[in-house]
Amino acid sequence: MGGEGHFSDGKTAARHQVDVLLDATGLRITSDAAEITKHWPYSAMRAIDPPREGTPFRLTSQADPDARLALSDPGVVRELRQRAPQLFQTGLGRPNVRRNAGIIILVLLALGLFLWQGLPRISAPLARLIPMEWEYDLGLKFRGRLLSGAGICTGEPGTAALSRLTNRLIAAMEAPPPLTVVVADRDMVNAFALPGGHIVVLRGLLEKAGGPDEVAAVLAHEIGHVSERHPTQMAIRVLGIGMIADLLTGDGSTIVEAISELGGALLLLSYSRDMEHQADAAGRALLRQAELSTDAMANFFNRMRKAAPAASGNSLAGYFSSHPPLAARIASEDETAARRPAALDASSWRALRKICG
Amino acid sequence: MALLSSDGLQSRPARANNPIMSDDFVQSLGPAALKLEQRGSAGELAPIVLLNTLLNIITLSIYRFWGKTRIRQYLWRHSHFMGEPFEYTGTGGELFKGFLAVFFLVLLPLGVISNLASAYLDPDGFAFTAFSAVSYIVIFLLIGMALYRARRYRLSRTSWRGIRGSMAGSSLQYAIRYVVFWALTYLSLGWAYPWMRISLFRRIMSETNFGDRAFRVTAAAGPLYRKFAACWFGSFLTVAAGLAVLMVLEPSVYHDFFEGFGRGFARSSDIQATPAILLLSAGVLFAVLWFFSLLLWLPWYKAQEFRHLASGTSFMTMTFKMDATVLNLAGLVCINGLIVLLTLGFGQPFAQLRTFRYVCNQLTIIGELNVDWVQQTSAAQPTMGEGLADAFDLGAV
Repeated sequence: MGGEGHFSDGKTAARHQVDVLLDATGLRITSDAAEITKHWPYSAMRAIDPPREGTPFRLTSQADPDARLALSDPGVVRELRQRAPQLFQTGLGRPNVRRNAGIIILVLLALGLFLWQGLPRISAPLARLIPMEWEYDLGLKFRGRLLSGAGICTGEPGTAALSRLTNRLIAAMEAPPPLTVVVADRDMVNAFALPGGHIVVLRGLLEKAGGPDEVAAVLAHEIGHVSERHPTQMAIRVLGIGMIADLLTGDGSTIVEAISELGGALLLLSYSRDMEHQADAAGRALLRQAELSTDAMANFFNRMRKAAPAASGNSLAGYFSSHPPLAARIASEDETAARRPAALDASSWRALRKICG
Repeated sequence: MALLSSDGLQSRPARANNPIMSDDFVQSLGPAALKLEQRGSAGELAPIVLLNTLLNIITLSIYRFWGKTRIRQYLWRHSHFMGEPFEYTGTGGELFKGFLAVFFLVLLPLGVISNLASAYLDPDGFAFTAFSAVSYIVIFLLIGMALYRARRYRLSRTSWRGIRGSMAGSSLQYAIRYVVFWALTYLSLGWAYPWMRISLFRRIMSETNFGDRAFRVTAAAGPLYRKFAACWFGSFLTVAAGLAVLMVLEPSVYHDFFEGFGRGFARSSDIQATPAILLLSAGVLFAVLWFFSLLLWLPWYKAQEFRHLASGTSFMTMTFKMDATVLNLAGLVCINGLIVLLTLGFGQPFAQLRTFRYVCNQLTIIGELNVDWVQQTSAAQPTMGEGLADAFDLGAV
């Protein structure tokens, strides 16, 4: 069975009329005028375009990847369909369709796995690789963005009281990280740590605290985050998420935004339960070292909860809502708490509460 | 598809008796045979576009490389030269690889460096200013390289009768010209623009090969300058005359509009609204209006430019003629813009189909082509595709 076709040999742009013969193993392509004799095995052939009514069926072969054969004789095409049905597959049967689908699914799975398991696992070792001094400027920038205009309180006696409190905790540490503790003029009940050892306590927290011990407990907890490098880990996670978002959308600008918005995202992304437990343990160890009450934080939390019970109001929403370990730890475990001296004397405590004037 | 059934392999002219000649040498003598045609239809394209959109959503847009490839296969396959289709041989995997390479080798380092700089450098200091200037130049260079490399990839994956296209030059050299010419264009208030267009076109076309043959460009910038001057002064006069008429009809225009703008500017940047400042800001405002007016005049200039570029280009013994007019060009650009806008970008392939059709319909090829003399290219093929262009959103097709 045979017929006519048109052949381009892939060496020049010429097109030759050829005779096509279908034998048991393949297509024999011959032209006396153009001196062409080719034999294309069915298994080595590939369809250029899917078969379409009224359009020549175009083929190539592995041995001559640049050569093209166009068959417009319906009889030849029908015969070829019987001998090499794989050339006529459409839809999901086309070559590479399943492979491409596999690639895409694998990529999506890999990205998902990276976000779910990889990123949390590598962020801790990565964070330890970065010297905290390098982060100082970056942390300062984030602090500025996070506070967005809210002033840093610099009342003279208050600042002195704050550094007395901070130094008391630092003195109890074996290898204290570089710390920069400030109070910001915001009435939310909150405190947070940022990369580079920056800790921010908001005015609202000072106002709601029952005494210096409670502030010391919050501070010790945040220092715990800093020692464990949690803020840096979170920054690395935000960057990783931004990177994946860029990979998906193909847009280089998101990554730039991710880094500049890092400050904001740090707050949106709350610490994991594990991180809170680590910071809680480190904070309590620090309080014990400094010979301060380890119950103050739980007391603070309980009092806040009683003050606004069902509503779980604004005052709770800030700091304590994001610290689950505290909610669980209500029972008092420190019998000697009452006998310990307070973290600050009464006049220093008054000064600290008035730090924002 | 009545058009497709006339694909015409059966109805071609009688075969040449000369055995040395290929059978379509006769065909190439007829001027009608040297015709570019786009036989695709929006109706056929629609299911591909819909499926692409769906798969893009499902795969969080990872599918876009394969989707783009399917669109190109469709557009190429329905573009015919001498009655025979073009072929797009690229794959989605190549585009994906190209994107990954650019993402990790260019975008990521660039993002990290620029953010480190803005975190650690004093924003008012010299170092930061110098850094910003350098990064602008680098980004412009990358855009130039992206344009060139995307073209190289697409040409290497375009074949007609099995013969591939290629780009013979260096993308960096092109990019340097691109940056220098744009700088000159800005500095000369636009006057270097026709020169840039001719020079870049000449460079890119003379490095464009089909098989082992390159295009030749003889077009010179001179004739374009008359049109450009008319455009430049015309847009100036449009704004000036428009404002003059407005001020005669409504004398408060200057006070409300120009002075108001100047005072607002002075207030927002905390400076005294001195007469000099007011005059300066009025000048800036005028320049902005002028620029927009220039954009309105641009289709007229562009139509002339396309005609000039086409008629100054040849391939072997073929020459070209482009019937671009201000009307058909503005129609193409405006309707394409509307299509993309109204479909939120998903309808981009329809705009591309219209562009293909426009070029095929308006381009006339004169002369003849001896296909026996066009031999396969020996140029190396890039192994992955246009990541840079994708990153900078330059992928026109």
